[in-house]
Amino acid sequence: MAEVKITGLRKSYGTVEVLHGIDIDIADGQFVVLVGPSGCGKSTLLRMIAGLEGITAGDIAIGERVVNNLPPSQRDIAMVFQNYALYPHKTVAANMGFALKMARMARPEIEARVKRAAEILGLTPYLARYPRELSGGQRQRVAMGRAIVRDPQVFLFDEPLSNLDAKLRVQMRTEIRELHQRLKVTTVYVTHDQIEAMTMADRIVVMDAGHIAQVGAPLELYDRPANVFVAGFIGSPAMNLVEGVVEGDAVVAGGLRLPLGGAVAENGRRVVWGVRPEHLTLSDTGIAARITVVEPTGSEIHVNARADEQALVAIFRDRRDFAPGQEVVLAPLPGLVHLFDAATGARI
Amino acid sequence: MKLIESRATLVLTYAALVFLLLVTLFPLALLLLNALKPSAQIVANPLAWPEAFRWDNFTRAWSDARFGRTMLNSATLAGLTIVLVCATSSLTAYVLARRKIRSWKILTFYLLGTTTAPIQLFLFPLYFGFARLGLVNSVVAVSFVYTALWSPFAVMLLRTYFLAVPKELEEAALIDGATPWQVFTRVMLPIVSPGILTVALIIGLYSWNEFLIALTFLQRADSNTAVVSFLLLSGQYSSDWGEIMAAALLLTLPVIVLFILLQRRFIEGMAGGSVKG
Repeated sequence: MAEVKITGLRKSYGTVEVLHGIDIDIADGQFVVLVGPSGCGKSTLLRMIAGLEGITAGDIAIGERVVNNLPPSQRDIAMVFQNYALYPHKTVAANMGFALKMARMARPEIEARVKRAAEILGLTPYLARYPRELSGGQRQRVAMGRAIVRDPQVFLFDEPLSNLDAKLRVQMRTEIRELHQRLKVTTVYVTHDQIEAMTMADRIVVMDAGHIAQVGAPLELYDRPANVFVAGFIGSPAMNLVEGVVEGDAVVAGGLRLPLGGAVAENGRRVVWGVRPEHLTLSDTGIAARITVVEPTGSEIHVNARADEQALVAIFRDRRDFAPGQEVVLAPLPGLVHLFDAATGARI
Repeated sequence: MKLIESRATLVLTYAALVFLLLVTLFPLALLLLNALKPSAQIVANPLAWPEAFRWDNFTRAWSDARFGRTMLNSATLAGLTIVLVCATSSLTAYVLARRKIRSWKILTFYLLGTTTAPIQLFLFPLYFGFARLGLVNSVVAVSFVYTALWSPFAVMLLRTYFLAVPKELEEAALIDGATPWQVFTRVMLPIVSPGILTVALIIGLYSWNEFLIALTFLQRADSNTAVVSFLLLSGQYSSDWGEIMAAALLLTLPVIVLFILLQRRFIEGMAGGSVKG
């Protein structure tokens, strides 16, 4: 186990820079999730930690060692790939033991380690099978088994659950989390799924176009997004974001007056007004809107509405009768309005 | 699995397949039939049933064509060529499939170009070169010529197999601590083995059947290949057709047996490389 320290990391392909100076400190044993939309550079960053991509500038240190120029095999890491990357011609046991064999470990020791890992992951009955004879979830477990037999300092996961169906994904999410709590190995996990990020991470690193948008604990990101990008990215359905000008106790956008709900900004400033769907409630005064679509999920009701051509989403936990075309008045709960500078996108 | 095709389509398909099967098997049947007849009867009517079975056609063919010796030469030549072609082309194909090579297009044109160049074009210069180096009548030397001739084809075929292997497998192996050579031998080669088997079969067949180069470079009686010694059975003015038919059957038999044994993997191999994963 070890901490991972990334300082001033840059990556260019020819003249195109894809990572613009990344700084992250990952504490020993922490589960860090890199999350962001496609093309934000999160996978590139992970591959640079693994040693599969070269470093243009900056440093990556694992433990006490700067590993910039070390090949992947000497970085003491293990990686789980999106498509599992199991060796199709080797059995489950041989797949898991391959790294140990490469390290010239004695056969009894290899067998013991593979057996222990298989027990942890519930793979014991499948050790003699080939990857093609396994289901998606089992293959994913073998890929994890291949990582844990090596007892590495850092686990790297590259969107490991993307190929699984929704139900299995939720199950594996819990298993990976349990595995981490059991082994307490420093973990860097890449995903584009913000739910995965929220549920699994000790800390989330939100990335946007080669920059870090925000680093923090899941709820910290949810409750206090540092900028418009994080506000819109974290949370599902996404936060309602409307650009307008501050006038008194409201933000004016077209014909709409959006209540500030206690938030403060100087008059005349151009801002982005943001409220999470579950923080909109029915009220006597506020934003008059017409319901367009009602989506009951069972545990809650998602109400899509339009107020002066502005789409808004509200979530209600209690059962109510809503119908498309119905007129409602929505207002943000006090103290739960987020304001961002319209020009920079930064939180006010 | 239930077929959706109508009965008529099915009947037509089978009719076409049966017709093609007959077309394919007819020469072989003719060969078998005439290999058991005396020469005079073949000339009279090649399609007639043998009046008397002449099994000695086979024994005479075996001894006259010196198949004991020449088939061994052919097998050695084919074996050497297979090993050389598979070794060189798998390495080349891997590099061409994986490393980013800027002049890859030029190289492809070069490789394709070499497959279209007729052997007659460089047969003489090659012969004089080999003669000066004292390599005429050497099976090993001829296997080098074959390797040079057929490697481009093998490279092009194997490259598609290597391209179909996901890159993550190599990366996983690198992280697992394998050296690039170990990645190649322990991960890539086993995965593309159907492709290598296909190449081995095709190259084996080519070199077993090759005539012009073998005739030019292997002139001494004890270095002839089976195909060349087979040709020598037919005389200028008269030929024992029964013996020739028997020899032809003996010559094709190893190839047929090999294909029947490996046909399944061969077809898998031919189809496997075509789909990029």
